[in-house]
Amino acid sequence: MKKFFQNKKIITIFVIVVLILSLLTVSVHARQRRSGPLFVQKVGNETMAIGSHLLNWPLALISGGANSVHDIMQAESENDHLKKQVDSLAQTKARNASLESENAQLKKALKLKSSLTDYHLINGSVISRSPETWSDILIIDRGSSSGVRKNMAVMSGGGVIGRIIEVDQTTAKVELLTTSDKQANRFAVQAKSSSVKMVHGVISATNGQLSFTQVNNGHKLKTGTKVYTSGMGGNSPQGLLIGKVSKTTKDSYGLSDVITIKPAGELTSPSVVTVVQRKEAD
Amino acid sequence: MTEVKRWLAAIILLVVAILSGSLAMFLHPVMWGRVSFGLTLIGLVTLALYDEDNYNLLWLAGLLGLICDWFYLGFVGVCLVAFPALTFLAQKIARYVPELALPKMIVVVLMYLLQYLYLFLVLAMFNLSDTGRSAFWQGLGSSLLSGIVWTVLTFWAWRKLAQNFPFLPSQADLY
Repeated sequence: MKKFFQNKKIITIFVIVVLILSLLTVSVHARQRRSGPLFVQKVGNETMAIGSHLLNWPLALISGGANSVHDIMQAESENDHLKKQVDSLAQTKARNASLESENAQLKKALKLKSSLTDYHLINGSVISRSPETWSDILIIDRGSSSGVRKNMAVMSGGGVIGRIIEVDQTTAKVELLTTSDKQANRFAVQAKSSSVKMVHGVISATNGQLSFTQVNNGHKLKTGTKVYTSGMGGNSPQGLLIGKVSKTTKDSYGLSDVITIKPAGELTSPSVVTVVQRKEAD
Repeated sequence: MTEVKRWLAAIILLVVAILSGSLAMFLHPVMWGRVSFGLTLIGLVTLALYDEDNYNLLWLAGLLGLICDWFYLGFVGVCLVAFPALTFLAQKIARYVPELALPKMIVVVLMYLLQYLYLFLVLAMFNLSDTGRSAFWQGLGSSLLSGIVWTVLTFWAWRKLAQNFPFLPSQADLY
């Protein structure tokens, strides 16, 4: 012990390691708890966001050109598919309008101002992505000035892709559903089983695969069953599509069901996103 | 103009730090596995290998690390620690590395892998990522591959920058 205290190099290294660990601990906990970043961090983030906008312009031109060629090649099959959809669209729209008006009347009768299914949408674009290996974080061009708040759900390509973890004035960070961050907030979800009962659980991710966990009677869910947010937890509204059941297995202990989900949202390359702002219930 | 030349390395490194995120966004769909886009670290280490006595690079590395941590992760301690530490290490071992491109490129790739190991250690320690063995080896493989590709593609440009426009050179370096 005496030798340890006499060796200045060892003491210096020890102090540096302790300082780094303390910095990380404080910083990681602060990110989880605080509602917004520090002022200096906001300034840095806004400056980087402006730079990203400027650099993305030429990159988007190149990328957009390549995508256009791909889109033209896909146009014919897409057109055939859409023609079939158009036939049933008019009927669906009429039915939707009548259900909406009925729903509004029923809410009025019950004196309900908002429910779990009420929400506003905020559209935005992805301007950057974390370049680090393990980090599933996107940066979008909508922030607190557009009404974006921490923990709001984010959708792209028809399904939920993640949630807001940090908000600046004009930008926000989105943590994708595929993140393996064990401290991340999870979406409470539900699905209708074959016996017409609701099955509840949460969405987790392992090695980029989504699964429906903490669920009882999961074996009753057939392949192809749609999984939606349940609105529990108070952050996201009810009824946002997460994906479809692709496989049901048992965990390594054989005790609970592990249901693999095929995500409905565009998790690989989302360029346009929609932030879902839940209406506060009275 | 002279002042711009003295700061050119810093400006380019900042642009590259922003570009890394943009490239990650555009190239992620066509990349295999968990690929990192650590172009800023490659630039810093290459500059350090060619400018081993310039300690101004250390605070520049720290500042860039802080900005990258804030913008891409939301917490500090990953790039803020890795960038200056690996720049310092590169400067210390530069005198033992032959004055040829290939050995220096190998050092750059090794530093890239060291950053991967540090990032993995931090994320595992704070429960911020999956710590499975297969995920670790898969990430190591893709990091090695991406490290080699980015180093081969950008090394010559960083070398030119270090030789022609060193960052805030001292008066002794100018004469």
